[in-house]
Amino acid sequence: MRLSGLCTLLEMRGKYLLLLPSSDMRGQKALEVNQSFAFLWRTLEGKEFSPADVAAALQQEYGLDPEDAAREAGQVIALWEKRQLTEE
Amino acid sequence: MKTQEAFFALLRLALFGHPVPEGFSLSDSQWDEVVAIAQKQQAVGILSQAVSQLDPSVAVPEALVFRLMVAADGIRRRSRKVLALSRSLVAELEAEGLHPVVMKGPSVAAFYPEPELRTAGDIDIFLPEAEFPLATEMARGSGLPVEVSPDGSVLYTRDGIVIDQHCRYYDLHVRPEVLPPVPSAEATLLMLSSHILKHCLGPGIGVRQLCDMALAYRALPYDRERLLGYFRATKTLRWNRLLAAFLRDELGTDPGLFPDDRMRSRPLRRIVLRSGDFGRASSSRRQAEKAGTRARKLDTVLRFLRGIPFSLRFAPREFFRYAGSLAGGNLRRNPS
Repeated sequence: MRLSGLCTLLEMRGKYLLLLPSSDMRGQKALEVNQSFAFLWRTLEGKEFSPADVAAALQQEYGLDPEDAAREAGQVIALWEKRQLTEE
Repeated sequence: MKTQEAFFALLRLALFGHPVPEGFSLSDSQWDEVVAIAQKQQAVGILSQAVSQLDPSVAVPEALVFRLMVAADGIRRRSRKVLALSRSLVAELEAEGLHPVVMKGPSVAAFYPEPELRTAGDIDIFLPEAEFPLATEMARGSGLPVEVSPDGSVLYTRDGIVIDQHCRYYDLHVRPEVLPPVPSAEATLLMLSSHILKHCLGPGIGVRQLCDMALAYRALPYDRERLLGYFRATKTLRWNRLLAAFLRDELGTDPGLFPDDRMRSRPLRRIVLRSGDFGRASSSRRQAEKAGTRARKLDTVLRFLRGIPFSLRFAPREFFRYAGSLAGGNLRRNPS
């Protein structure tokens, strides 16, 4: 899977916004996201990735053990899919 | 701290890295006022850069940070679009053996610390007189509606962006032989300065063009004596002293053209803060622009008359030439 190319991650003064197309595709809506979301987005943006890649990134950045990282990765990907932030 | 002073302090931070004054602090409503000034001046991109550079100890309302992030993203997208079109236009013209020179907009954006944060307007392209007809034919050949202005410049829209094709590089009424060759550093500086002057004499000017001027002085390898010679030859020395005073006092950069000059920037500062981007900070100007050509021309004449004391003091020669062109009906469209 890939992160949606229609979204843009913005940062200013430690605050993060993800801009995504509105449902009618005519405008944009903004979603406030946290630092770890921003880290994963920047790491994976523009790349093909698997749940294992997400888990590996979480392990490396936050020192999670493999089980926790895999569980977190699953939750993150589920959220992204629910929000239609990924594409096949 | 006055919001106008805060606005200029933030510009100095973004453009030249000058720290804001010690104890810099604004209330939420003052921040809103600073953003409103930046909007009137088409300087929201520069403001967003300044805010991102502010020390974390300076409190900035969270909602305002989000607003600036989204606004800056829009400015960046538009800048990329304008730059891409400008490059493609130049490539098309050069492929036909022509020698286009991009004036203002995308060419001065390159002088900015973050070029994409300069609010992009239209694209101004200069072509030598002999090459102008072919370039106009190319625009017509692409099937786009082309408008020819009384001063000979050609206006058309492509991909939603206005392209203003000029056969005159300078907004000055002087003999061509006293002007610097195009392109050159001196030519760019004189062109930018005379463009600002023209708008000061008429509808007004905003801070964006003054930022362009300040950054052009910093970026371009001009010869001081030669440039001063062109100012004298075009009778714009006094005007350029005022301009340099504004850059020194308000934007925090001294081009070093007039060392120890005691001229103060106030007359130009008044125009910039009152009129905003090409006069559009004023509601009467905005209404006139919406109402059509006649209303806009009338508004320009009224502004021109109101500005007579300034014009006679700083650029009397250009004032009379400009008066002549107004009387001759040469301002049939917004000259921005």
